[in-house]
Amino acid sequence: MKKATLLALALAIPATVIAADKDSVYAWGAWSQNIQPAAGPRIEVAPAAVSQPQVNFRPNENAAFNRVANTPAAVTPPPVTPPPAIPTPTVVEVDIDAPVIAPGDLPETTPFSLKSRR
Amino acid sequence: MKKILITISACLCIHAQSASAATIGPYTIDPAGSVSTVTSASNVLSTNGADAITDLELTTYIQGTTTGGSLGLGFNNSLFNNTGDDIVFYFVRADSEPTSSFFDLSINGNTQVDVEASLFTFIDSDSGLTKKYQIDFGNGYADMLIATIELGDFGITGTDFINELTISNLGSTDRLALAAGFNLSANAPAEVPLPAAVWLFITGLGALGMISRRRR
Repeated sequence: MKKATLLALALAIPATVIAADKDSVYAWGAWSQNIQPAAGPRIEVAPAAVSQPQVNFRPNENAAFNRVANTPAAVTPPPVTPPPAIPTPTVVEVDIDAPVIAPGDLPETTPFSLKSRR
Repeated sequence: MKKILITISACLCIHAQSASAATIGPYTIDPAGSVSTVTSASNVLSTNGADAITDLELTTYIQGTTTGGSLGLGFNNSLFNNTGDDIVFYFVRADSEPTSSFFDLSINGNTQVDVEASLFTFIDSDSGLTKKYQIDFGNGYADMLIATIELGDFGITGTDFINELTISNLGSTDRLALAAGFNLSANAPAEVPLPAAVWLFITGLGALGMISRRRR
């Protein structure tokens, strides 16, 4: 039984390889050499000429009224602002009882509010 | 008194587009995670207006008044909750002032009262002694107080993120010099486990093998 199974496998597996048509349209073979795409008509589309809209302005009007029509399609994105660089922090490692600056020697502060800055 | 001064964090690699990170003690601060704007301010004093907190300088700060100040801080880049601490606050401490300070912090509608900033110390590996970090002001050195925040305590988990927080109850000795978030993206999603069907398939194969063996 075991021998028969192995024999069947030994025959069945190469048989599929042998049976495959090497020149089938379903596989790349000799038939596919020198094949070129079919010639067809060339289609070219020319973009429409850009023209300034013809508007008869009144005496108190100007081209600013055309801004919608004249707005370019592409919108320029705002420039990316890189984050500020961290200044080299002057941090030191000292003994726990090292002297500390007096409050009065620290930089002077002033009242701050967002409203006062406007 | 023997004073050992070791300037740290001098390594700043400047790139064309992004500013480099700086290391302050055990923490690495990414400029992209730092405070971008002051969204609100009341009863606070500043050394340099809003720039005092956005300029990333440790020598400029915003402090509260005796009535208690509040400060809204905005972050251009979203801050996420990843493993470990998520936000760090650095304060400046002068002589004879308390070695810890307390403030209230509101994030995402959740408020924690009396968040503690404590003296920024470390154990020196050489001497085994406790030492502290100080900021050089040119005319003297100020101590640093530090508070670290876990965003999970404010209900921020998974892919949740924040762009704003509010500090309130800032006292007259609470000088906030720098605040920054560590995590600018969410944790990677967990690995997808092997489907149960695969284990079922393997078990089935094993069972078939056993049956065929018994038949022999």
